Amino acid sequence: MLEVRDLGFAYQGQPLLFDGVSTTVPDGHILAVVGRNGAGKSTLFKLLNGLLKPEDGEVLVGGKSISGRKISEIAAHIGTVFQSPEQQLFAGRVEEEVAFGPRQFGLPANQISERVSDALNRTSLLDQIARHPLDLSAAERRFLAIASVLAMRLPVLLLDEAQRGLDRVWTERLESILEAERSAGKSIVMICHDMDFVERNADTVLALGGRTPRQIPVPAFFSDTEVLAEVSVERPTPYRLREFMT
Amino acid sequence: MLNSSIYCPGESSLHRANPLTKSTGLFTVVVTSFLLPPPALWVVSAIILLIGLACGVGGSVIWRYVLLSLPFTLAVFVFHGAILPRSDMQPVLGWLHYSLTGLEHASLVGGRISLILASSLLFVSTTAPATLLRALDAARWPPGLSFLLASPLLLLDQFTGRARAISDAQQTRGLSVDGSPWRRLQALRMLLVPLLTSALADAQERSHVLTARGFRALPYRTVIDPPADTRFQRFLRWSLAVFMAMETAFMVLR
Amino acid sequence: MSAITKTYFDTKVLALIAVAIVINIVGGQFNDLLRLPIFLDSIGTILVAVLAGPIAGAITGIFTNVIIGLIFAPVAAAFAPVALVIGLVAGLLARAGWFRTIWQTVISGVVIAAALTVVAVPIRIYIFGGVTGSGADFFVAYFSSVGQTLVSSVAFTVFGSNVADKVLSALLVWGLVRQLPERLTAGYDYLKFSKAAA
Repeated sequence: MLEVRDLGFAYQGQPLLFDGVSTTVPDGHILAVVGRNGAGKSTLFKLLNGLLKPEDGEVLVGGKSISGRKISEIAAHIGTVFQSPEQQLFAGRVEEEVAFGPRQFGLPANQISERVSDALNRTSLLDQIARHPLDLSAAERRFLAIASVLAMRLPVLLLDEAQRGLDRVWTERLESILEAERSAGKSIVMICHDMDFVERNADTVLALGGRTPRQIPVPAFFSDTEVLAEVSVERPTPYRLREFMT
Repeated sequence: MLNSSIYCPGESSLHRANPLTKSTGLFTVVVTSFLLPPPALWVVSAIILLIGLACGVGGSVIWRYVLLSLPFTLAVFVFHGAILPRSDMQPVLGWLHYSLTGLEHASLVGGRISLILASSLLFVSTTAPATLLRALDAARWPPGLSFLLASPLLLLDQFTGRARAISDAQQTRGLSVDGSPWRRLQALRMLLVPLLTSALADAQERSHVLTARGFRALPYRTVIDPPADTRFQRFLRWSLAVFMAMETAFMVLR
Repeated sequence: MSAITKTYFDTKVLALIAVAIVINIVGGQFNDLLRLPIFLDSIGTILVAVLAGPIAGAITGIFTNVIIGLIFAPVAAAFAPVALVIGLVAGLLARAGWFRTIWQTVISGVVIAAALTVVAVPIRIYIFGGVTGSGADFFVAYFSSVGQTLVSSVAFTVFGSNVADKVLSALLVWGLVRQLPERLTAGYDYLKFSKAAA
């Protein structure tokens, strides 16, 4: 379980970006963070994974506070998939890339290779195991970044626009990975601009950019015209259709 | 911060002077500094700093000048005056010795660096890199050359941001930046390899774009908006060039 | 210069040199994070030397120092000849096949450090009087107080403070070009000299 309590944060010399933000992502739950550009979605992620330190409040994983710990220690609890995978690919082989995370935990070699093949299998990259990460297609590279995080088997996952630019086949693969992780009891937070994707996959929504960011269940969020206007997002297709029909 | 760019925008006559004139002036000062005696070196340094004040860039120039030249000046005086063994070493107190010729030499070397530093700071703080590049293009320098000066300047911010993003991404994957020296060395590879590979990918892409745009189709580039130049400045540049040649000849023949 | 840039370099190498210069300038940023006692300011130069040869490497070195001089620290421009030698020697070593194995690369790093010392010592002594106002001055002072001449004191210091950096930079470049996909290295003529013998 991931808990955020009364989070407060401001960039130096700027007004408060977050003031008393609280949210809870139980085990087996997907929270979508939405809002327009500059609303603080990426900043929120950086506060969760330790790249930024909150001024107030704290972040808890499994009931234990992780605020104030080193980034590399927080990495043992929270996994982040960044928007551009190129920022993290360093290895000469797909396999080595995925093995990096588990290796940081000091696992024995057979467990590492078991995790690597499992993660690559789940991301449909098993037949690419010996290739150079930069020889993969854009979608495959995104999934390689996802595999690298899956192999670490962490209780909390953060995904930044993981669905962006994927075709239907890859989107379905991503959705089945999300579903499997949810069933496995992971707490998942995703930044997402695609409201259809949010509607299909998320349980609750945290809308940033309004006066008081609140965590709202998905159906309630998309029915609340006021909140939708406040954070300026489009309604997903099924809701628009329903509106059109009535 | 020493890590930020030195240029200070302004409207002084030095700001408006053609960059080629200013750089010729800078080179003249540098060459001349090898001919001046120590007192003159320090006096001219002070004059240059005063010119900076008059041009409205004094604050930043003087601050950087102090920051860069103070440790050097101290080191050169201590080293030549009191540490490097010389024949005229005199005892001062206990183990402390000093050498008059050493101090003289320190004053010469320190004064020369002080002058070169002050004048290059003045040049750089009154010359926007972009204007310098336009001046080089207008003077019909080969486009490859001005590309090599311009392109890194334009890419610098982008790559600084990329380096930051890489270190963020790797740390959230568990990369520790404060282990033993050996661990930190290994960490270096995880930070540098993504930066280098993305740079290579960039280079490939850029060369396609440049080729497609007909970069280097002409031996020089046409500048729509060349920095202002005057007949007086051209005359000044030629005179300074002749003067520098004479100085160099004097130094060689002396 | 025009003849050189025109004849020897296609646009591809020019684009490579431009990004390598940025790498030289930005690389030190990682050093701030990791606090290693090295400079990391010539990785781009050595990379260009290995991929595109000694002249391209030398040009990368010169322009790196000129640009640093132009925007951050004017003193750097005085050391442009040192950066030139790093690129030139690295390129010659690459041409001779001394970036093929790990041990050859280590030796290449040492040779680069030795070559740059030859150029850096006269600049440091005749222009800077043997000191630079940095921590390295303590070593120069120590060596000369135990009876070394100024030249050898400065030479020891320059070589000592550079050898680890150059060996490490050479190794990083060696490791990188070995694992790069062909797509990224296609068209760089010098790479074939550093490919491990089949």
